[in-house]
Amino acid sequence: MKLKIRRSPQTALVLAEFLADEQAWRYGYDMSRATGLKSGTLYPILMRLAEHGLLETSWETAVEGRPPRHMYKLTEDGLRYARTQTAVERVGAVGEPAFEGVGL
Amino acid sequence: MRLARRLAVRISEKAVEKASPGCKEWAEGLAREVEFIDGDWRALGWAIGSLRVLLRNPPKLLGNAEEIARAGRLFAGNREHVPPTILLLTGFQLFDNVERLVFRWGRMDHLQQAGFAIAALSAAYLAMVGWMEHRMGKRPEDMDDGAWIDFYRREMVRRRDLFTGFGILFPAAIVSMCAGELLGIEGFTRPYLTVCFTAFCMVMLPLCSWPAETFQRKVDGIEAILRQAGRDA
Repeated sequence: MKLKIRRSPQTALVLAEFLADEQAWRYGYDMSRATGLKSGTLYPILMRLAEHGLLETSWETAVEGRPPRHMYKLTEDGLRYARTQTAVERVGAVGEPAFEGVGL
Repeated sequence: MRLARRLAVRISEKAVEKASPGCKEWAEGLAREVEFIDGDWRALGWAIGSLRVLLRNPPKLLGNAEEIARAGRLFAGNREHVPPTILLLTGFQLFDNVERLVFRWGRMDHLQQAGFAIAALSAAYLAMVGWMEHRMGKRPEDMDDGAWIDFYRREMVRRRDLFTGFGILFPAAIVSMCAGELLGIEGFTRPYLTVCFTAFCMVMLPLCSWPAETFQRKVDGIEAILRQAGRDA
């Protein structure tokens, strides 16, 4: 089945950051600092990835005196998609369509 | 706590309060991060950015395959006899503008003529998109849920493709139809501002893909459920 997701330089940045440590759960603010994206740009990307089943979310276990934080990690499908996308970025494809299909 | 930090916390709380059910978890996630941001002004910037989450209004998520099939039946039932509002409105607008152009052409100045012509063209385009959106594929004959799921998914994909193809100017055409009507008003004093604003919208609005995204999210929801059902089977 083919899914369609918009490819943008910001999405590529987020995917590359997740690939830096594939199995780690990441916090939103840390992602924002690492990618240089503001919350208003980063979160719509994360939400879109989650809607496509490419990102899983979880709440951190509460520690006394500290509120639990929301955490994010790519799913297996997400990791496959991220690897494909970053490979395409490396090749430096020109004239790619705005919507890129990914086989799942 | 400094004023900027207090404001950041307040904005984040408001975002959580106002977020739609589908976005609430995300708004809460954003709000929790405020405490971990060093720098009050940075926290305020983060909180202001979190308001963008409020702009996302995901469609009601369908929970399982039966619900998709039911949504497909409902969709087909609703579309069988009742044309969509946009088709009625733009059809009427088209008729009205053409009537003015045909019968009152000689009594209008050039600005009014151009205005009504733009409004008529935009209305024709909108009516065409409305008609294409309303048109429906062949309904499944049998009562099988699988056939209805296929039907519903196909219809959502067709609509998504419409708004990434022929219908991409849809939001811009709404603006140009209104602008045309404004230019058509006798003695209208701001024609250049209207023309500049419309030209800006014609360039910028095709870049926003919200109509296509709405249908894409529905397709994603259906496919996620089907994938889950495939894994469970």
